[in-house]
Amino acid sequence: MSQYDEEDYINEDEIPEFHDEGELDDYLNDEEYDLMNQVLPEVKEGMKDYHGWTTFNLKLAILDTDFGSKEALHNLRKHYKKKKNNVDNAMGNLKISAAPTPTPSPTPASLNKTKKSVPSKSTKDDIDILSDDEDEEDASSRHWVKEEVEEKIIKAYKRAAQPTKPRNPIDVKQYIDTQAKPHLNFVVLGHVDAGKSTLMGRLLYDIGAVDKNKIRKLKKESEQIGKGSFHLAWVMDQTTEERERGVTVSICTSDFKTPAANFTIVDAPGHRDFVPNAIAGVSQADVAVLSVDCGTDAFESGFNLDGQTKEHTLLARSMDISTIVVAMNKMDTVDWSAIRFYQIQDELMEWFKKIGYKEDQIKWVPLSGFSGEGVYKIPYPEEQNWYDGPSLVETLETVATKVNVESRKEVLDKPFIFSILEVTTTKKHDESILAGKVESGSIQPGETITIYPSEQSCLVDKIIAGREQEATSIAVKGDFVTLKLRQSHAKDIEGGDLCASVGYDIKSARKFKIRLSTFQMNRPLLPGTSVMLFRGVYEQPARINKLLTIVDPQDPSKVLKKKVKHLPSNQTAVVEIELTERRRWIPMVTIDENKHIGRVIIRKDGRSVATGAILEVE
Amino acid sequence: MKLLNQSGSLKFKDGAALQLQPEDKEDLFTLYQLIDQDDELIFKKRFTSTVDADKRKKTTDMVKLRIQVISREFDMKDEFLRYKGSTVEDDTGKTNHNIAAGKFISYTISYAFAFTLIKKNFDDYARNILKQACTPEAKADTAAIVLQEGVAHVCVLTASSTILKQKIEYSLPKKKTSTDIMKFDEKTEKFYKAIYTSIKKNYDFSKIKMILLCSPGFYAKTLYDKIIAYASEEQNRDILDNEDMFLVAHSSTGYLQGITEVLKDPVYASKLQDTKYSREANIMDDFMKHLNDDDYKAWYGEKEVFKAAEMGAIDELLITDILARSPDLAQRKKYMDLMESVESTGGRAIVFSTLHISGEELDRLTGIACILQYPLPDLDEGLDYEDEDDEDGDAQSV
Repeated sequence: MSQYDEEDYINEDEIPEFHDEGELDDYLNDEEYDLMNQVLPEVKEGMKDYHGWTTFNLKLAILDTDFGSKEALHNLRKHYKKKKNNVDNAMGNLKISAAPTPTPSPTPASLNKTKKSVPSKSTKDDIDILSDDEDEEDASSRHWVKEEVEEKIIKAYKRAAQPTKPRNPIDVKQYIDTQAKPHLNFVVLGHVDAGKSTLMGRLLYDIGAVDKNKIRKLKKESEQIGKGSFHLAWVMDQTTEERERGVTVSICTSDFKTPAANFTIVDAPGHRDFVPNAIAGVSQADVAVLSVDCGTDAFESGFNLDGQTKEHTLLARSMDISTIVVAMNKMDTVDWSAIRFYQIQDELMEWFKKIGYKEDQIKWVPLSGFSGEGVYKIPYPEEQNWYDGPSLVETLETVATKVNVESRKEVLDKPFIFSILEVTTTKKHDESILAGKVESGSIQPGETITIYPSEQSCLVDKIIAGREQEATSIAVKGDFVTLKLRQSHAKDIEGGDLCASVGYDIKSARKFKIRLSTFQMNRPLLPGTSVMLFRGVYEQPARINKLLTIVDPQDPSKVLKKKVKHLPSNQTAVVEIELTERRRWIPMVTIDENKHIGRVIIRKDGRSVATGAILEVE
Repeated sequence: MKLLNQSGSLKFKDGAALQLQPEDKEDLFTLYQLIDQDDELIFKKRFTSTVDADKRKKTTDMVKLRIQVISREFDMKDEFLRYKGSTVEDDTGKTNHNIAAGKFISYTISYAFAFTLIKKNFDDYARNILKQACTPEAKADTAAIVLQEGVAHVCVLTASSTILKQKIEYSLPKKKTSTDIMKFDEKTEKFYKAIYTSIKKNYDFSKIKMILLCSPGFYAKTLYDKIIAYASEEQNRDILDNEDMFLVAHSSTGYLQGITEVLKDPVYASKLQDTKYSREANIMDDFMKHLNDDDYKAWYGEKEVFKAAEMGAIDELLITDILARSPDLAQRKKYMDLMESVESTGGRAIVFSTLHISGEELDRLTGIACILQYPLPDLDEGLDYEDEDDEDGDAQSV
């Protein structure tokens, strides 16, 4: 490796891809062949404590390190598992990949350099050999980058047994300690017409994520169809239907950053018919911003039985949203009345406590989304002299820092899991683009992931993130990113599918056992009842197969009742559920494996009737 | 269905020979329920037989065959019903000429030809469905399309079943700030167009009395507008002349459950008239309501229902066609007697078709349930269950 010189590099593109040992042997000239046979026994001896390799793998490694037995051994040992290794290790070679690399700690400068090199790579079509992008880099860093020969191209639906190394490994721990700014995903909830989209449009505009010209254009367009006050909402609502009707239908994500933190907004629809989309929105968020219309009677109509304020907060609670920031919106319409503010606060707090939130999990900010006071930097008007707390953005920044500390823990200790929101194809036949969220762990370009339920293993070619859609060298838990994959079959990937690092299996099933906590319902759940099952963006008709036991909500291991004939409101029970559309299985993660995606929501006749924790996947 | 000829009476155990001419898929379902194992069928079929001693010469003739039914295959969606049986000896000498007894032969029921059914056991239920099927009143179907963004189900509701004709699925791009909105609109347009094409392909407008469009939000309304727009574009008289057959309804989901939701919604009840499927959906909902109210009037499970029937307390008996047409004759008799006894005490027995969603739900729920005339809080007391250790045996008081 150290003897690597310019000429070798030029030749490199000509090294063919070997499919078996014979091909490789044929490629070598006599001298190299002898050299190979000399080095091989040495390497074999060194590898006998490891498993999973073949002579062919060894030969490739030797060739790759230019017949240096030590380097080859070093690389191989990192790549393969030691025999009799403990279970813990089996989960993530991911960790190994990052931790023991004796790379001189990546200074910001070198990091930048790697980043720059990434886009250039995309122009090259062959990614067979990892070392193709190291033209300008110095010898020492090249040494660590050029580690491993890629595995053979994985055939359709064959799962990879071995993980691959990142192309430009980054020390994950160091990255999250030093490099990463706090990142927060928040969903905007609230009753229809509570001004969610307008608030988000305002936020993006004031922060500078949307430029003035665009707002001016939207304003003109909205005035043309007589909906002048909707121009800020149109930043988020883009389809013709949404604009003409003035309601948000589907979820819309958008990124922005402040000096203190990076944010991803998920704007969710408020209309009751689109609660399924709101569920998808909540599933992607860490915290929720609840927009409340403080206008006269408006709060009340959103808060009564049919209003979505209650259903949305209940969903947030069910899906483990830790903090709710209540945006007391449209305060300008009630002249910033403190009385109104506290009256609504009291009523809402009572409800929050009822569904299990504590006072310190709820933050309150009076504001006006339309005119912008209390959102970012626009000061409150004179009438408002009773609140001197932080603005909405400041509150979110504080929350981001808090959430960040907790979520970072899961980056290192947990395997990589990614939930897919959307799949797009490109002209290249084996390339697919997945947009989604990293649920746990971390990912770097060059690593191999397996997609469930199609169980295809793909190579992560590129990770794209942020508002400007820049390529990045790492994504960690909580990040919204787009993965560009190679060796994939996009037609068998759907929104809602899960990806995981190689070695971590996700079960797919049509039947599973869940612990269901029912809300207030007007019809009980019976064996055979048809319901709709939601998990993130997944939406599937399902049927309750069996009611197994009723358990104590406080202590689920305590069985209260064994014979259950029907399941009424406000009970916790273990039930078996089956998907009724036989077309496709869905990958499921139990609540113990991941408390975020191990949850489902059950709806029936247009109402959310229960929340469930997945206990067992058959 | 036409009853062309009948010999013998339809009384229980007397047996009768009926010459029948099925006309539509509803008739197939009736026949499917009517014809049991060991019943005999007489029909004409092309039959190849070897006549020579050395088995060389073959002749193919249209012959009259008489078989005893052994098994059947049925698919409502494809309108396919076929019986397998073995030839039997015919005393009258009209059929099975030169054909040995015991040959296995199959017969696919077709709308073009009549056949004769010789049935030995008739019960109330069989008599009723036969009578209903042969009533010449218009048996029009309801078409239903249930949709949401990117997913649509094109269905036909008949008296006995919900048939999914086609499922249309388009993965519409989730909108993003960068997504070209034109592309989204284009795909949405394609989606509606696909539904329109499916309507033309799957619906026979002469046999349909109503087309139900249901969806959450405004999708159904948009679909209606699109259908009319497409139809006037290509001057499709079938659709334009029947514009008033469309009913736009609201459901919470675009999956099949959405249809049931509409069927039991009182808002649409008058428009749906008193169709069998909306009646079933409503009774099922009524049953659920009683359970929810905990008024001890709704019970399910065989033991509970039989006990309630013994006490003469049943107001409405809910039973699936699977139980009512159980292949085990003793079982069937048991349920027939139950239905009779309920009716004799002033109650009503409703047989649910398991090809409808509400029937499917009832099937999962042990297949039998009842609503009582008056509450019986301790109905299940003293009924043995496997897990008798559980002393809280009352299903109602949770």
